[in-house]
Amino acid sequence: MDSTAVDSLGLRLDDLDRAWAQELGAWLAQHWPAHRAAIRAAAPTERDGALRAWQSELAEARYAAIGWPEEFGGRAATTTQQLLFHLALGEHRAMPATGRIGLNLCGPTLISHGTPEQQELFLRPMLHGEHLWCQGFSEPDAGSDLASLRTRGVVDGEELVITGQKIWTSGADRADWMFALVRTDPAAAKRDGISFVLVPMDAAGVDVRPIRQISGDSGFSEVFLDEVRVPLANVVGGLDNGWSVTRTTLANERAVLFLGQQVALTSTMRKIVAQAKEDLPGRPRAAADPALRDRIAGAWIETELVRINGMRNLAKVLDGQNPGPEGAMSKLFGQHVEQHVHELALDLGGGAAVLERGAEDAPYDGKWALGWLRTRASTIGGGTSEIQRNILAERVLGMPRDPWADA
Amino acid sequence: MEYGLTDEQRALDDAVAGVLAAHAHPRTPYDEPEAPAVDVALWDRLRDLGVLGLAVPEEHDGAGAGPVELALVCERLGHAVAPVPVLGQVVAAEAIRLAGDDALAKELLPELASGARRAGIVPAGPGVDPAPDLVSSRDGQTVSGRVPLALDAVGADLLVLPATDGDWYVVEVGPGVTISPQPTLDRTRPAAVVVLEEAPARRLGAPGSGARIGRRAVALLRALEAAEAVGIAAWALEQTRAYAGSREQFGLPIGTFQAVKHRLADMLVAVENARSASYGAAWALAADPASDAAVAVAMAQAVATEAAVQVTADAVQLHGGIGVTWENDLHLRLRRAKTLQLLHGSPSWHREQVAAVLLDG
Repeated sequence: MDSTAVDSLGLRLDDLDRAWAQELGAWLAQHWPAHRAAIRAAAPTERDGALRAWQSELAEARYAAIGWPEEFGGRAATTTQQLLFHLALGEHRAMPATGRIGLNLCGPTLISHGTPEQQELFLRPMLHGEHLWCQGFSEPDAGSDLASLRTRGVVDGEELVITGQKIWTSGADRADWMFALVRTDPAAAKRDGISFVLVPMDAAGVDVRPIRQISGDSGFSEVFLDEVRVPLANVVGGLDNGWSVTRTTLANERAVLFLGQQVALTSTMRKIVAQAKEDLPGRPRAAADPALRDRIAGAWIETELVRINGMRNLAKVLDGQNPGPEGAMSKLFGQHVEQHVHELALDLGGGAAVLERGAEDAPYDGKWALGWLRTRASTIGGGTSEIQRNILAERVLGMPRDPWADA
Repeated sequence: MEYGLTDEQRALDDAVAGVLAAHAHPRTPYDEPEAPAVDVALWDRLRDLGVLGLAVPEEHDGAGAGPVELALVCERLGHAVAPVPVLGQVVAAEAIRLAGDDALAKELLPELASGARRAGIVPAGPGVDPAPDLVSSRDGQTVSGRVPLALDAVGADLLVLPATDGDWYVVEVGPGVTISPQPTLDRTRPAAVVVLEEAPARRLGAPGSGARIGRRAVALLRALEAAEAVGIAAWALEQTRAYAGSREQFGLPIGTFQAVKHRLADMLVAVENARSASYGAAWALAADPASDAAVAVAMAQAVATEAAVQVTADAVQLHGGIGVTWENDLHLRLRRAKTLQLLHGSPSWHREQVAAVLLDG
């Protein structure tokens, strides 16, 4: 691995970690370029297959879910190794596994709470990209207040009959399976009557309708469930126990997730700095504008802060401390930085930035308008900024809970 | 792992926090204008902890620690707005160390480490405004001129200062040196006009070494000011958290209301960002004892001083009427925060330093 990337994080590696990183770097250098070419060359209808093939290659080498225990095809990677993994992907500009919603969120839950049969049935295909997963949590009336979800699961013999609607489901149009939260005991207190259940997307009664976002993309879908019958054996962690199952601590994984964000931000900042030095037709370069210089430096500084904040959290984890709700701080700040950086990238183009890709005079190939539109969702998805602020104020600073919140 | 603190660093932090909690009296300069500028009792306690000689090499009776330890101490000093000129003392010692003059080091550093003598530093260079206007004699034996704004000079025995020839000098306070205290925003760090009239001086290092010494010394000063700013912001957050948890309106603690909660959350993010930036500068300065860590230090000043002003102002706001009273200690921090923000380069000036590295290279 490029030692400067490691040094820039101030990591001191032992020989084992160094060897681990070297082996990984060599493996990526050998295997990624062919997949990269295949993914780039793939027609829209072939892209899904090309992405799954790359995941399969990663899985064969036990690089698809390195944090998983070895018996399930992972490497039981330490936090340092996970950090090195993210760095290596960034350095080789290699894509992570396409099925990472399943690998990062559902897999660890099955490993902690699943029965041996569930583990046997689901983990291997999840690992190899044969099953892509989506997460069926949010509902039209259960966003920030997730526990108010209303999708019903009624026990009928050995089956659960599910009816309701999920929304903002990332990747639902590609997914083979969904892990969902459904209300199985409407009489119980809000958080006590929920079950965590695995639903095949090809079951009768599942209807996926992609949602078109402001960017024109359709990364999310609505998922309608109409009397979908699922074996009770697909309930994970016991009936009505879903809320605590979803709380499976992913602290260590979360602690390194900032790196993916940081790699992306750093790469965008690098492009911004390069673009600011370019002369555009009919206007002075951005680097000559004092107001833009201030914003560029400010965005660069914010990106650095994301890195140092993340490394400080990681140091706590490596030291055996629980990073705790402070993770909400990284999330709150990081999502704002994403917006600042993308808005700046767009603004550098001046008036011509309104020209989109394909227009004759679109600056920087018109690529920033999409990023600007997409990052409007940064402060909404995965818990809005307002919810993150509540979490920080209540759980870190000890302020009283909102009077209307559940006990 | 560099991003955590060692057990020794934590122990130092705890010890300094303990002494300051019990013995720092930042209200004294406000409530008793005639009191001495320096709290000598507190100064002696900090000396006994080894704070003054923390970054002085062991061969000169110091602890041989570095910028990270100094930053931890300064964060605590800012937290307490302690009326002691530690900043001047430790940065003056760093400038003398950088001179590489064994005789001078042997003479002065043990005295600075032990607190037997107090030293102030007069910074100069880009971003320092107002600039000192000092001229050295042709033989480098005396310095004359005026320093319009010197901190940590009142009560000092030595001053480390730059002349227009680019070199730095150490001057003993005595004949030819007049220090006139001036009213200033932050009364815990008295300011003065210093006038030198052919004051006997010793040059730091060989002629021409001033640029190297000045860059590193001023960088350390700025990094430690950023650390102070972190402490100020952290104190303001702690106070506001306690107040919002206990002050009731409409039958509930005001910290129940989201308008208050959310501002507190933003204050927390600002404090932790400032701490990350401050640590970043201290780590960069510690990693290379000759470097001025220009980008990391500019970032630390920009982020930490802006955070200190914002968080203390937010704290005043969330305290309501009580926050704008003389009796409440918040204005002590507000004053120190603004002083740090303006003194050695504003946040936008420091961002421009970062921009220059990114865009003009």
